[in-house]
Amino acid sequence: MNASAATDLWKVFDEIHPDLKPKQVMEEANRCLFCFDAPCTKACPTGIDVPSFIRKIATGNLKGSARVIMEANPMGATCARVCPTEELCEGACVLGEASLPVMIGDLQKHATNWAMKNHPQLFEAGKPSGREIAIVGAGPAGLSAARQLARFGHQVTIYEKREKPGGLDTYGIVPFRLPQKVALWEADQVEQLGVMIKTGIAVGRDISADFIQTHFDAVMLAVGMADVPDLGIPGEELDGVFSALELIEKVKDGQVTDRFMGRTAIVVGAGNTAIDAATTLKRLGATRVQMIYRRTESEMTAYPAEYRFAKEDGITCSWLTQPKKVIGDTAGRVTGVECARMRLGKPDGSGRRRPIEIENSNFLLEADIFVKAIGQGRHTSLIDAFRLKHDHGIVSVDARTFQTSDPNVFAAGDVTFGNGSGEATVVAAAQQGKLAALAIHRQLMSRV
Amino acid sequence: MADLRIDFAGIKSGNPFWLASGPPTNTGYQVQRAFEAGWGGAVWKTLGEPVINVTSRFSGMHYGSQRVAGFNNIELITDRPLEINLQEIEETKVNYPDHTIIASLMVEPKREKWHEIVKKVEAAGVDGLELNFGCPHGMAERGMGAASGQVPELVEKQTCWAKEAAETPVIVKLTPNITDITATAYAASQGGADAISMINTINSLMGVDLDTWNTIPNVAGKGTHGGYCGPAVKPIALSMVAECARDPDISVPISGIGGIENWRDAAEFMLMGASCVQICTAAMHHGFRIVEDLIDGLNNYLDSKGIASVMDLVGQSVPKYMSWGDLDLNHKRVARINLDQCIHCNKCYIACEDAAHQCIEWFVDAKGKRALKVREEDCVGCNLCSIVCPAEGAIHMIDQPGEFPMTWNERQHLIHTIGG
Amino acid sequence: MHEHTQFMNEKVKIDQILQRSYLIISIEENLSGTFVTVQPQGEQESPPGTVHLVTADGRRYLTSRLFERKRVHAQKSENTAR
Repeated sequence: MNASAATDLWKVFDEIHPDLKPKQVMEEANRCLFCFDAPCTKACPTGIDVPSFIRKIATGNLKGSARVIMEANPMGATCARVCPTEELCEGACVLGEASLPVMIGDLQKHATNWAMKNHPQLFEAGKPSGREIAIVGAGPAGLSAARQLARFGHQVTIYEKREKPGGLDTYGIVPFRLPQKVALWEADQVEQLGVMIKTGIAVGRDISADFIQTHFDAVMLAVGMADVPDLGIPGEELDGVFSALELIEKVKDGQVTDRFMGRTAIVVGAGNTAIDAATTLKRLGATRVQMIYRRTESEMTAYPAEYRFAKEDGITCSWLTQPKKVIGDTAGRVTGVECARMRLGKPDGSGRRRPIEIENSNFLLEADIFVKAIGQGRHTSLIDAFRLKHDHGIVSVDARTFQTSDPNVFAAGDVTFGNGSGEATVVAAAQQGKLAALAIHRQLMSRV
Repeated sequence: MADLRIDFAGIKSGNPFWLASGPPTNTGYQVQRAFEAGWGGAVWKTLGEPVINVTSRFSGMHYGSQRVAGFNNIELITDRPLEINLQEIEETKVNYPDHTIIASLMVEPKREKWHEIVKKVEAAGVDGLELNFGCPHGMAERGMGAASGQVPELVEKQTCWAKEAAETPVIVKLTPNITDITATAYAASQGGADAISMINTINSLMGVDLDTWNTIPNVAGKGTHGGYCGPAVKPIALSMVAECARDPDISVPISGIGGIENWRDAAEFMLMGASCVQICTAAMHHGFRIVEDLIDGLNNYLDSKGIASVMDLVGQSVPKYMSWGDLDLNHKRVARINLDQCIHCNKCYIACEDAAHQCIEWFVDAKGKRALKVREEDCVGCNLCSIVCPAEGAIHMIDQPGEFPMTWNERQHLIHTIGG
Repeated sequence: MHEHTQFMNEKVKIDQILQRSYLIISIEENLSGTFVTVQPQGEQESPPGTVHLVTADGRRYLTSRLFERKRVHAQKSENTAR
């Protein structure tokens, strides 16, 4: 591929949702009623004072506006783009019934865009407390906690195994929804408070869990989840089988390939990551992209807005379809997927109806690309290295103190989510990080 | 179709909508366009010794996303020689004989100056004269406009001089930059004015630029006060019209001016005693075609009320306007929240809590949902909650059967009787 | 205390004044509110008492009742005159 073709190809990964134009911003900001005890604020997992930040936009106080947002949510710029606003703040907007909800997400994007462009120092580090805290993982939960801890005056070191901070925000959400620079700006905001982010350091490989536990006053585990696990079906080793996260990570990092040009792809899974993978494949030139899911549309975990977006991209879905085997040719390249038809039975532990395979229903779907997007695995060995209690890689934490089975080790974010507890969203992770920081601070300051 | 024709101090006009003296009536070209659009009359941009204007003349007061809630100008009277204006007046009158042309006039407070200009403009065929005693800026520094309009004796004397020479009706346009407008209104009528018009613009400084610290507008970095008009001044103008309309010593017809934008505003001014209205800012904001809805809207309104002639509207609300001391202290009005329409923004709650009488309370409704209700016994009926409520019909102000009426004046009289 | 409750207390006092045939000697209003000086009728010997009305509703109510009484009287005498 020549250079200019690569540039053109990269354009399809530009952020899709346009910024509001200046006049739209003012009209929208002035539409906000400045509710008292506002339902939008209550609906925000991080409790952003929405009427306050919108009023500040209307008065031209953009620094103040950005500060209100980032105060409550250190991932405020990311969340402006990836939050399911129609289910949260905008869904709660009182104007929803009377006319149309205020475009809160877009206004939040406007204010944080201003901050990204103008680089104001939004927060200051607190008076040094003399306490040192290690955080493992520089994703939303870790960065959020680090930001708060630094403001309390603690010295924070984050160990991040990847080359860049930001976790899933940097690597796992497609750039046309969330450009990488947004996540990196948020990380930079945290670093400006004196937080040390040591990237490329994997705990358990480059540094031991024991070292961290002995050298810091407190440790916080915020390692999130691991890569997409194997399906455990034959043919997963074939050429043409990918993990959704691996695919997204490449484009997020600016690596564009013509590997998918003209291909027929199947994505297994029906979450936001599955949709991200499917829409990425389309942008990389795949002719046909089909998502397959063993349940139905009503059980899919992707946000309705994301699903709509996928449909607009021409992505089709095959419900009640379970892959049984990836089929390859003699050269070891994927040629199709053998699937089975499912039906829904009684609800299972997750509250969703359990899919049951229909006997002798196997059929073949032709494809040369097969992408796995069936959720994420767990960092069980790392958790074991810290000798923490966990349930299949989900660390057990006290809901109030965020302490794990080791009272000096705290945990927040996706590493604690699962089995029906918490929701794996950026906004939830940011809030957990914030609350965990407060818990750690209280714990440290209560020690004599 | 109601009859929109008016008779204003003997001046007949096809409808009560006149363009007020100002930039839109600067030339014959503009006035003829206005008449083509349907305006009943136009008050020509003030004639007098031609001025030299500065550039950067206007500024707007924008509120939220709404442009031009208020408007400010530092432009002076006509900057064109009298002969040119008169020629265009004549030509306009020939082309539009059924439309009203009033000449607005401003000269030095000297008898011969008034005589001279009155005779000249009447020769051009105007239907009436409007003496501009109102412009607060520029001309006032030269002893004209508001400077003479603020002194009742000067108003009376100059009206007298104009009347001495005038054959057409003389309207005196009053400045609002005065404590009690009825004083100058009375002086005008004593001077022989056939009618009064109000209000001219209000002294104003539109703003200060927060980057340059210059005034808004500025002329080469310097500014001066201007005249304020537009929708924001309507309540001020309306009260001044009402004060004059209810004053038994001021019995001349009133032309209402100030923030009138649409037929609703016009109808309000007429109900409060104006028998015609003048409009400038709205035409500057939207163009002459706003007159279409002014005419159509007023017509439909009159039809819906079964009123045959717009003149029957004039002054109907004046008897309802009085001194505070004559209002009924025993009238009881309370707010009531209609939860079917409530959108739960809680603005009424915080407004009452922070700025009124703390009588809106939370309760949990039958479905377990938090909602608001008014503790009516503590409600003073101030209207604040219904004013801040953004949901139509969610808060009603309910008039309650009260005791028999007692005004403040009656009460004070009673107390004095007992005490003394 | 809600102003209404305060008013209800004052109303009780006012109704007592009006019902028990007290003679209102004077009503004085100043920065502190309304002071009603009363004397029980037929007991000219006993010293007059003062009722202090604080609430706006109380001050309004007192004069309102008196005004009503005056009107009724006026009506009666008018009827008698006829």
